[in-house]
Formats: sequence, C-alpha cells, structure tokens
Amino acid sequence: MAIAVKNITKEYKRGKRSFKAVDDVSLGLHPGDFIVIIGKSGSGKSTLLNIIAGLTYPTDGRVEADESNIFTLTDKQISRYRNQTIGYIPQGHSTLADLNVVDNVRLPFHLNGEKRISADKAEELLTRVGIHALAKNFPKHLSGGELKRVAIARALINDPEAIIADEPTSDLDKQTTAEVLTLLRSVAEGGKAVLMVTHDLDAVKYATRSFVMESGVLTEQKKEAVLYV
Amino acid sequence: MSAKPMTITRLSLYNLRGKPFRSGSLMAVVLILAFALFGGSVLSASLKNGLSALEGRLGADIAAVPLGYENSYQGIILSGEPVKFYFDKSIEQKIKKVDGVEKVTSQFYLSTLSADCCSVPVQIIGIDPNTDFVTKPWIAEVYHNELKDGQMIIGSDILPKKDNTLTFFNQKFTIVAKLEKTATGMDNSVFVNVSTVKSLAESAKQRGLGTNAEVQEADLENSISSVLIKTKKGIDLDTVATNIRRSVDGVSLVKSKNLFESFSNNLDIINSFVGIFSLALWILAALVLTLLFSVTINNRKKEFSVLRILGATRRKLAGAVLTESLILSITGSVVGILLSAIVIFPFSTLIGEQLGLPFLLPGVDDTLGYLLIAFLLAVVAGPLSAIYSAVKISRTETYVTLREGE
Repeated sequence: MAIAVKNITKEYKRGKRSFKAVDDVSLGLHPGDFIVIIGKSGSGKSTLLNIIAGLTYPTDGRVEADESNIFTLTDKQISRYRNQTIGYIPQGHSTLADLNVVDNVRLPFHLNGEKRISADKAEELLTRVGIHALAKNFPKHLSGGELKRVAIARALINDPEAIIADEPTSDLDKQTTAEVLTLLRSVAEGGKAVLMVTHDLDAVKYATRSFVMESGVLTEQKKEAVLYV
Repeated sequence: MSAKPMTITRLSLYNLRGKPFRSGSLMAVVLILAFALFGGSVLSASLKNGLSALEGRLGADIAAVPLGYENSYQGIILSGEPVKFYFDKSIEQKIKKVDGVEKVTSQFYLSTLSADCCSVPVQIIGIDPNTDFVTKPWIAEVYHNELKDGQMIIGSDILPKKDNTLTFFNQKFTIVAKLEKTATGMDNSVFVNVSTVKSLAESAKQRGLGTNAEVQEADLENSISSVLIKTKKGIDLDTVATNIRRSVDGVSLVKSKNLFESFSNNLDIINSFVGIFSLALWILAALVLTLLFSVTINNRKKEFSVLRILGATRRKLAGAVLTESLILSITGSVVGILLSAIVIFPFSTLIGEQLGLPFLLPGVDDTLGYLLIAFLLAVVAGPLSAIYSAVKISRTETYVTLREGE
C-alpha cells in the first residue's frame, strides 16, 4: 500500500459551533488505483486531500506512509514526503508564472537539494503528457488544459507512489477534461496510486474505485450506481 | 534547455527577472540608501580631511598681520586668494620679545595679476629659511634641501611648464617640488625664499608689472607681510595675544583656533546632519522595504503555497524571500555606491568650491572603509526588512494561503 488513511477526522469551529469537515474517513491508496471522490463544494473532499498531503493536520486519525504516521514527522520530513512520496496537483492554475514550462516541471526535483541534471527527465514527461513543443513557453501562453498537463508532469517528476489531484478538471471543457482524465488513468495504469476529487460525475468512468463525500463522510460507490445530486 | 539545478537562488533570480517593475522599485530604495550613505560619509570625511589638512599646514598659533588685514590673511590660508600687504620688518623682533612667545618667523606675500602658469592669479609666499617653523615640516615631505634663490615649490593646483619652470614678472623659476593637495589656499600658492620674492617684487615694482599701490609704496627691503608666532607651552593663547597687542602697535592678530572654530563648528553641524540624515534614511528605507516586501509577499501567497505543496520546507520558503531581498539589496547597494562615486569623485573640486570649505577626499583605505560600511548597512536593510514577511509566509497554513491566493 502506498498510503493508508486511518480514521481521519477534522473538526472546524464556526462561531461557537463545531462541525466535522472530515468524519472518520479511512482509505487505502494502492499502486494502480485510480480513486475518484465526488462531492459538492464544502463536503470536505479538499480538506481530506490536504490532510493526506500533510498540508492540514487532522483532529484525529493518522495517515501512514512507509508505516509512519506523517503527522509525527518534522517539517523537513513531511516536506520530503510531499516532494517524494506524493505528487500533488492543486486546484486551479498552480504553475509559477516566472518559470517556463520545463523549469516548472523540474522544480520539485530540486526542492530537496537534488543537484543532478533534470531537464531530460522533465522533457520526457512533457512528451508523455503531450506538450513537449511548449517546453520553453511561459504559463501565460498556455491554455487551461495545457497548464493542467504541466501540473501532471510536475507531479510525476520525482516518480512518487501516489498522485493527488484536487479538482483537476474543474475549469476545463469536455474534450480537455476527457484528455486529462485519460492521462491520469494512464498514470494509474503505470503503477501509481491516483486519488482525485471532483464535481465531475463523468470522472467515475475512468476510476477503478469511486467514493461520494457528503458532510465529511466518505462512502464507496458501486461503479454503476453513483449517487450524486 | 537549461540544465542547471533549480536552486532557491535561481528561483529567486527568475522571480526578480519576471517582475522588473516590482524588483526595480525595491532595488531603487536600497540604491538611494546606499547612494546617500556612501556619499554622505565621503563628503563628511572630505570636509574633516580638509580641516585637518588646514590645521596641519598652519603650524603657528597666532599670525600677526598689518592692522585691518586679518580677513585677507584668512583668504590666503583658506582659498588662496592673492593678497599684498606689508608692515615694517622690525615688528618681527618686537613680537619675538613679547612674554609668552616661543618663536617667530616672517613671510612676505606677493601676488601675480597674471602669470603664464595659471588661469587665476597666484599667491607667491616668501619664507625665511633661517627662522621658518611653519612650512618647513610639510615642505620637508617633498623637498629636503633649503630653498635657494630662483627655486620654487608649487602647490598641487599649479601647472608647471614642460621644462619644469614657471615665469613670474619675466623671471624664470625652477620648480624643485610640488606639494600634496590640501584643499586649502596653499594648493594655489608657490613658495620661494624671502630674498627671491623680494627681488621679484623689486623687479616688478621697477618695471611696473602687475603691481599695485601697496607694492609701489612699500620699502620692500624692510617689509614683511606677516609674523607667524608659536607660543610657549602652558601659556594661554589669549594672554599672549593681549601681551602682543600691548607691546606692538599697528597689527591685527589671527588666532589659529579662531580660524578653525567657525569651520569646525560648521563641520560639526554638517557631520551631525549627515549622521542624523543617514540614520533617518536607513530607518525610513527599512520601513518602506518592510511595507513593500509585506505587500509583495502577500500578493505572492499562492506562489509560496505551491512551493510548499511541491515539498519546500518552511525554512526554504523563508530562504527564498530572504534570498530575493539579498539579491535586490546587493544590486541596489552596488549601483547606489557606484553612482555616488561617479558623482563625488570627479566633481570633488566643484563640490569643495560650492561648499566654501576645505574639501579633501579621503585616501583609498578610508574610502574602501566607507564603501564597505555603506555597502553593509544598505545590504542588511533588505533582508532585515524581509524577515517579517519571510517568517509570516513560512508559518502560514499552506492550505489557507492557497485558497486566499486564488
């Protein structure tokens, strides 16, 4: 198992009242999984993703990677976990505007002090996601779909065990959405665990497992019977 | 395709390059600071040097000049303004006998209204080699022998002919040495022995060359222009001056300390102003930079949250902010100091003239010292101002900043 999510609960306070954004969620991410979590805005799916990425600490529960609870790690260790074990694709446009495409892709490779040359690897990934011709372009010249491909290539640069994608198709047209989902599916088929959250019901078609999240509660769905209103 | 590792420094450079206006604005603040710090310290030091040089050149505690000529004497010392005034030679001996006087020497002044050496009239100062204690110590720095008839030592601003001679009143003089720059009237004066200057004056008088009424009327052989007095140690200068006034008629006394006092007071005011101005500017620059960094970093929250998501440690995020501020500060400081040097060094003479004070640039060692201090003070202002933003951005919840940045 790449990552194990065990009984995660996250409580927030709104005024004097507290509510559970994530309520006792357990989930295992295995190589080859393409897990899609569907839910409305505010259902807690992004919070769950951020907890798995170690960006937000849960009120209760643990996320295990290499049999260690990531919330007991030091900042340096948890940063390394984010850099090496997972590849995170944030919501919206997440490229750095002042770096060209290839530099954006190879950035995580060097964030942990790696001094080896990374341009070849970055170019390889750009070829894989179909935008090698744009390697020297800057993000402002790219379309939404192309930017998402850059983010996917960047998430793969350190060859992580899991890819975590926060609504990667939210601002894309139908055709580009299909292309991105196909790409993520191929990543999963390549042996990575892919976990994505989305509003898009069509994404379920590409998933190996799908869940619905409502009021912080995660429920697995049969493939043919996704209940989502 | 760039193959170099994407280090924090490289990332910072790309960020700075990508936002030229933002980077330029931040750099301009440091540039102005470095310009003012270096320029101010060099100006202040130059004035201090000028005054020290003046002090070193005077040598005498009191100068006795013909009654009413004290301002003209100050003109010779400070600006090299050519003057001619004479009184009887016997005054020297009278002053020598006054209680509290240790030693005396006389000087004879003659000015040229036109000369082939200079664009301005030159002050010729005749010294008495037998009694001279005023010019001897600093003339000895460049010339070790006694000045003979027909020989001349020139101030640093005097331009000799190619054959190392100068002609005054149709007489040719051999230049035996040139003095170091002092930023005083001495730079525009020439020094000869007293017999030379008197024969020169006599010759000019007979030929009617460029002389005025004072020269025409003077009994040159028995005249001198000033008596320079060294007082005995432990005796109050004012007491000696009073003694001279009681014993000798027809003289005005110029006390060296009074000559300095007004300049020294002015210099103290200028130095205080430069100090307070520098401190105020540094604080202002630090506050402006803090504000600019805070606004800038606030606008870049998403960028930093992306870096955090990609695996940057908190320390690395703070490092990125501080590295950017350091790069801006170093660049701003170097450019600021260079600009300051371009303004001050080539135009030091003009600045000195405009200030109306002795102005002598510091030596290379001192200049490098001021450069280093100005550089360090300006450079440190950037990262120091960015610390708050660096700590803030590294401590903020990434998830929150990502959402805020959208």
